[in-house]
Amino acid sequence: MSKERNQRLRPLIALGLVLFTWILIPTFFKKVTEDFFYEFQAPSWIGGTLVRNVQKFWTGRMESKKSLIEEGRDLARLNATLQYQIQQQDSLAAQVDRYEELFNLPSLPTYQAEVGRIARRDTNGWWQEITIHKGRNFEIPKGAPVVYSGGVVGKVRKVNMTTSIIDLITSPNIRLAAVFEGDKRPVLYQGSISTPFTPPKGTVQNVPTDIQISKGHPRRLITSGLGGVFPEGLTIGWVQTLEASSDGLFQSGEVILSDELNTIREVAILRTLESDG
Amino acid sequence: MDKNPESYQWLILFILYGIALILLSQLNQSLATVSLFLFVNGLLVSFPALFLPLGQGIAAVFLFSIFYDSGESWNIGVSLFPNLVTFTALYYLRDRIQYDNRRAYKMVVLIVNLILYIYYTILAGNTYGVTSQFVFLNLLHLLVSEFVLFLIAGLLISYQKDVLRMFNIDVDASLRAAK
Repeated sequence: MSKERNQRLRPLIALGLVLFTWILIPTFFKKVTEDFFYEFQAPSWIGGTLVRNVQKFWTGRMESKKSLIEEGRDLARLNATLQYQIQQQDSLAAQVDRYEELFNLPSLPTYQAEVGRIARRDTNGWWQEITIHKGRNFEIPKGAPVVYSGGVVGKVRKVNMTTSIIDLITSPNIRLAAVFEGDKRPVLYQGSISTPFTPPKGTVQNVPTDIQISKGHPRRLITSGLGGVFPEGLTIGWVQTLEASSDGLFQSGEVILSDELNTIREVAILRTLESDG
Repeated sequence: MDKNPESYQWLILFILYGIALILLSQLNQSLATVSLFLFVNGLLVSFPALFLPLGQGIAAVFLFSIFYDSGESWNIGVSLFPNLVTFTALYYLRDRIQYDNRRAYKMVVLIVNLILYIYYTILAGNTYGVTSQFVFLNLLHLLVSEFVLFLIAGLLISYQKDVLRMFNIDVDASLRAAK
């Protein structure tokens, strides 16, 4: 009787023992185990990217010569435009330096971009994040802003040995001070979960009531530079409609983000450079 | 050193689950471009609970839980409690489940998957806040996952048995012997 009872209790005793032992294990060992298993999985994600690159390469090989020539021509045009923009940027930077010196202003923060390839995209109902190939091995700083050619991507949340995890701008825990293009008053941007087959989106709050937006004339929402994480003037998204909030003092609305956020392959992590005085 | 392959079922299953999780993460990466997501942990907890001896099953589920937490944004150990509790509950119930009937353990897998998904969703809701989009998206992901599992659970259970058979382990025969 007692043996049978013991037999029946065995699973419960085992469960209790395992959970109790887990609680007793020091946090340090748990962290080491977590890092070990994580770093063990990381190469598989990187391998997945390599496979996709090979796939892209062979898809490119199958393109006709005519379409390659056309794409080369388009790229040459784009290069010419970008070179012109670099020159403009250099002259603007020189102008800013001159003004800073003239008025004895503190230097604006300068950034160095570290380009990283996306190894893993994890956007589910629980969190919205991407993992890039670079981590502590490239001195990626935690909390650094991440951007791409279309604007803001997100913020570095965790840095591992060879990878970094970035909270996407669609993540509800991303909040940042933004401004509408051509307006200096700050508003609050927050990420928002988007439903399948719809473009990524966020919400904008605390918008002054005199800002008018219609679907025919959407307005660009850009970073304000306040808060010190994101540089000023980066595109966040477009706002097409605004609604008065319940207290009537402000407006709020939906921010449509770029579709490219779901398909980009490379991002740039901005590292703040120490100012030279 | 014990050379009986039946003593290493936990290790074989853990390696198989590790590979499965890595492949699933690649699949989810492709699905992420259209905001879809697949969750099949219910299957990976159900199999050891239904077919493995107690110690072997606990070891497989324990390692799988830690491996899963390490690759995801959950704190390590978060999956341990729900996985082991569902494992124990299933272990108690397994004598009453008709193993010959594929539909019976398909239902078990679906129910376990549902319970685990709800657990993680409540955790995420506590962290990021519950909005209507959050509920809608998770409901949709749950439905998609359950539907996919409904289609392939039987196949994947047979596959796990086949993998164990490759190492001369016949879980069905062991179960019959135990009964």
